Amino acid sequence: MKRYDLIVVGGGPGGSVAAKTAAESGLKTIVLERGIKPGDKNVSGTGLSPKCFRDFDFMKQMDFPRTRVATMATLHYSDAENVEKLNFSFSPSARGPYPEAREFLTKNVYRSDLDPWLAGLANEAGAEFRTATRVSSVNRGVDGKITGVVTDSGEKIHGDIIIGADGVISTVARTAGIREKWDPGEVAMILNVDYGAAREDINRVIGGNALHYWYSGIFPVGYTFFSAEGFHAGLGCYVNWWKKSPHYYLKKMFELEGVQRQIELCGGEPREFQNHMVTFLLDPKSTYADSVMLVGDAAGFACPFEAEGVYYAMYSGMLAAKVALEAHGSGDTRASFLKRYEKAWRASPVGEEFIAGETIDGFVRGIGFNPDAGRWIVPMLNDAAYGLLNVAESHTASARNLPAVLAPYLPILVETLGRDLLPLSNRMAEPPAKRPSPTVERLLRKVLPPVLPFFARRSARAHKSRYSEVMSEIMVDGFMKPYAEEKARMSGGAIR
Amino acid sequence: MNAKELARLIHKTVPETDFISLDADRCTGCGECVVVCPVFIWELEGHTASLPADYRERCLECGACWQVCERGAICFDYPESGTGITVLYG
Repeated sequence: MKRYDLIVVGGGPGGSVAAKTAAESGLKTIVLERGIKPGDKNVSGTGLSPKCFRDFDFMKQMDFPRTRVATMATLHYSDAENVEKLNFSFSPSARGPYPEAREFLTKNVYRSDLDPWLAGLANEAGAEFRTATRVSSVNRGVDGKITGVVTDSGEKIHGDIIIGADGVISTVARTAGIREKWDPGEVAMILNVDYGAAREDINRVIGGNALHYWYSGIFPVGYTFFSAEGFHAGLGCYVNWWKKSPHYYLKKMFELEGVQRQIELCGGEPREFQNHMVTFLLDPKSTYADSVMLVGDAAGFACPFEAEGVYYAMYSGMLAAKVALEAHGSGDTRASFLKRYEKAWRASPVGEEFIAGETIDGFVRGIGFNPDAGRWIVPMLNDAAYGLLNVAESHTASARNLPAVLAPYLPILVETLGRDLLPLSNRMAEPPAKRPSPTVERLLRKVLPPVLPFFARRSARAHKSRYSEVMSEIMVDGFMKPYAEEKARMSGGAIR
Repeated sequence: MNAKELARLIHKTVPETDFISLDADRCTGCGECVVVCPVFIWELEGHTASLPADYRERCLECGACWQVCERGAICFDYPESGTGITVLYG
């Protein structure tokens, strides 16, 4: 009877990197993929982050004609009337942490290029591939122990260790008893329309500014991401969020003048409609069981901030393969041994994304995925920008009017800062600091909104032309310093 | 291009066997599956969801209906080996 050291279920980036790593270290490995070829079943936003190229040497050989290197991203803000009010762009910084990060934001590729290429690398390393093979469950021996998998034709494939790289609806996770399904609030659904367009037209219209985010007061945040010969346009939100058909929100996004302009100027022709789910987790709960490890989406490793998935799948695939090798060497494939896998991913860049999981979740729920927040955030940002930069009257007059224009936003702004942003920055701080004291938060929320504009107006009148200094005195000396000191006192040291 | 036309813009090998099923006894007719499905597979008949015969030709295999059904009335599995959706430009 043929027996494998490792069975990898799913031939996406997580499965292929796991198989490549395992086969290179000598494990007898097979990959089972339900599509006719790897990539047949996969949808993604297309952007590969610089991390993929920093951590995987083989990625430097990646060369697809349809790749577009994104050197700029643009965030567009539209209001509840579906009119774009402001936008801004950013690009790689000279202070980026490593060369690839300084060079580009993402490399935009198609999964129909990436997945077969990665599978080819794993195959060259010695991993066997069986495509058009759907696993219907794990296989258990008479003693209940997992001994391999069963395909939908009833064939049993025997193996010591199984890596479930089979996506959000992981058959391995379900049949190994790790999870039946996610909670509805843990999964988002992303609708995507693929457009084909001429390379020259995209070069002319878009160039390297190939990542556009559309933040709105009507629909959950959408995107247009450009490859060399086409683009993806889509949006998404939690699977239980939709009050109307998702097409209603998609239509609203396509009605935006900026989106229409991109489609028309690039000559975009819709080629394909796609839909998929991605996880947005506070923390991946369980990623292993006896003889089983889950990687990528199957484990819930999509970045909880913007749902990047490919890198986390590749990295967790590599870690799982290494643990599989150790388990194979020791002859112990029980959960008590495979616990090492969880330890490994928690200590890796994968786990790092979840240190602030809870607070990132608060931010995504409160602001990112929440068009209701867009209804005041978009006008506020625009009023601030317009208030400072308009030429409708003298800049002195504009500046004098600014506090009155912005004051009405303060209560909700302070509440949102306290609830969604301050905890986020706290948790991301190094070393991780405590949450701000509820007393301080309550105090800020209560005191700031009525007091700040009052003092600003009074002091501005008294000092006449020194408005900005007055503002910064009030902000820094009056509020920020005592707040920082209070926090420092609580955490028993200075805030770095 | 309207929503119905867009929903037909897919490539697939139609599976010959069922991969979604509905337990009508569990269904409360809440309509979550009807709202969420971007290819309009689900319909409400009275107080129960219903699955038309041609769903195998139209389903995107996203699993959103299964995920969103809090009563566990919808069973979803992937279509048989080598069939179902083929994403050309994912």
